[in-house]
Amino acid sequence: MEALEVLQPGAFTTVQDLGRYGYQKYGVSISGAMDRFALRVANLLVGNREGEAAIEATVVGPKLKALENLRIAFTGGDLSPEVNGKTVPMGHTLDIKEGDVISFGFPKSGCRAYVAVSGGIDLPLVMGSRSIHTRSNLGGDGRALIKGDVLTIKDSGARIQESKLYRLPKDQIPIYGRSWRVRVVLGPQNDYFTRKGIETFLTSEYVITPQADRMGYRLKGPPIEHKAGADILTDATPPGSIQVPGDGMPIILLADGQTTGGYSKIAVVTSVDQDLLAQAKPGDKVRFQRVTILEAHRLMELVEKRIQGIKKAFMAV
Amino acid sequence: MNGYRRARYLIAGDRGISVEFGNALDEEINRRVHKMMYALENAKIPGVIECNPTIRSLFVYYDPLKTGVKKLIQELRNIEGRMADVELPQSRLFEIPIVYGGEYGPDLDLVAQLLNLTPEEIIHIHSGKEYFIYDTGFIGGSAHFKIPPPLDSLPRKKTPNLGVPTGAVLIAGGLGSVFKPLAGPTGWYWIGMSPLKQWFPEKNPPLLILPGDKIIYRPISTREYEELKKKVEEGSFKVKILEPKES
Repeated sequence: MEALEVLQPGAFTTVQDLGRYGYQKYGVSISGAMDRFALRVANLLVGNREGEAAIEATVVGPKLKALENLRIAFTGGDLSPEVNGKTVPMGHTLDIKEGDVISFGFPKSGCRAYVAVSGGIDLPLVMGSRSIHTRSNLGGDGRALIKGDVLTIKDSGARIQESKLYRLPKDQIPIYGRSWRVRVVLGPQNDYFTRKGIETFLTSEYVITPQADRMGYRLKGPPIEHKAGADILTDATPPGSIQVPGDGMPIILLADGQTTGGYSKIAVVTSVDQDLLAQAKPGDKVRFQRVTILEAHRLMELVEKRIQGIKKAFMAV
Repeated sequence: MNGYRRARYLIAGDRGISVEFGNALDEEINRRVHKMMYALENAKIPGVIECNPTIRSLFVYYDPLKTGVKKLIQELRNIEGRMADVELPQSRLFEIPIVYGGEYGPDLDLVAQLLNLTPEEIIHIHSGKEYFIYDTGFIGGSAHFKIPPPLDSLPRKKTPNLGVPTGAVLIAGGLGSVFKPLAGPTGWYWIGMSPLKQWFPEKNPPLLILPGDKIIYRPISTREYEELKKKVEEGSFKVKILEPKES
């Protein structure tokens, strides 16, 4: 069923689910929502399964026309969502009518907003996912949305009336600042760095440069010192990898990052903080904090508990 | 043997373990990586999502909500202990047409200069030899091989920023990239262009050349390149698969 027409595409708007697994060995990036937590919550708000495909908007959101009565929700970065020019709240289930126009205003907080639609955005499954990965032209038309694109949803709106309208408790709606504490697990090549290099990495402030997109963020700050060379024999680069090339400036790989790389990786960003980094923008400040692998797993468990808690804490509108 | 006696199990973030079999471009090490991959895929360990074989390590991607890291490493060690009998698929030898230099390989002259050789000497060293493919990675499955001396002394560029087109043949850091499956940034030297395609997302596997295969470059003229490219785009070109000289 045709659900949304793109009137204006915004800065970089794509469709994302929880990502493409099982094909990294063929050089296929995982991709998927940069802020997986926000995507999951958006889906829950509209009565979808957590991993359905939704719209990911970046800083300047799109303008979309509803071609059908729809149930939608906005989560993630607050890019000032509006329906028919009137401000609507984040973290709320909203029912909109055929002909209504979704738009965005000033980016108030964060970088990426998610628009989930009841039923889930329906793009053909490519290698098990609907996520658009522009660098390999996978998903949808292999590119960000453009004016005139029409998105369809999987289910008809018939069951909308049956499910309830929800809103998130206020304390579960994040407000993002411009400086970030990013927790990392050291390795796999921390032994390529001098003690001083690791200390620089863990105690300095880095700034996100304008070279920041779904593939990764380049940071600028005090150079991180290698023992000898910066290059390794190419190995896998999971999302969150912090590569340090010869110039000593860290590069954080994110959802659309390549599957392998030849720069030494000083650390990997914890999964939970990869979601947070999705909301960071060029010019934001980043400090790294070391955690152990078991602490990182504990953080993931806490996020799962939080999702369960959010399900329970949903309040009727 | 250049590999470690026992693999190193490196923590690579909170969802990955890198099983490292050595720290050298070595076919025997690479074969162990792939044996481990097949053994692991057959073992179907709960919590293991997928794995990514690279030159000298196998990256194992897991769900920590389903398995603990200690337990997983123990299970991986067990698999390592019984993977010797795994048989790897037959190697194929692909002929890769290539145009060197000029607008097809803008870094060829720079590479020649850096190595104190002529561009012709670089072409002579790079082409006509069988290369073993170690991995298919980066974006779209770039296939990599060990580059012969003295080309192997070229480091990667310090800051990766150059955009190269699909088909670009690259070298750096001891490796050759057969040709780029997709356009994008790189920190490698761009010495030539091949008209072939590596990336077929509608197929399974989505790649022409796979790890364990071999390739050999055949220099062609720019005219032949344009002709072949047209054929490749029409889908009427059949890639030449040769009989490998050595097994």
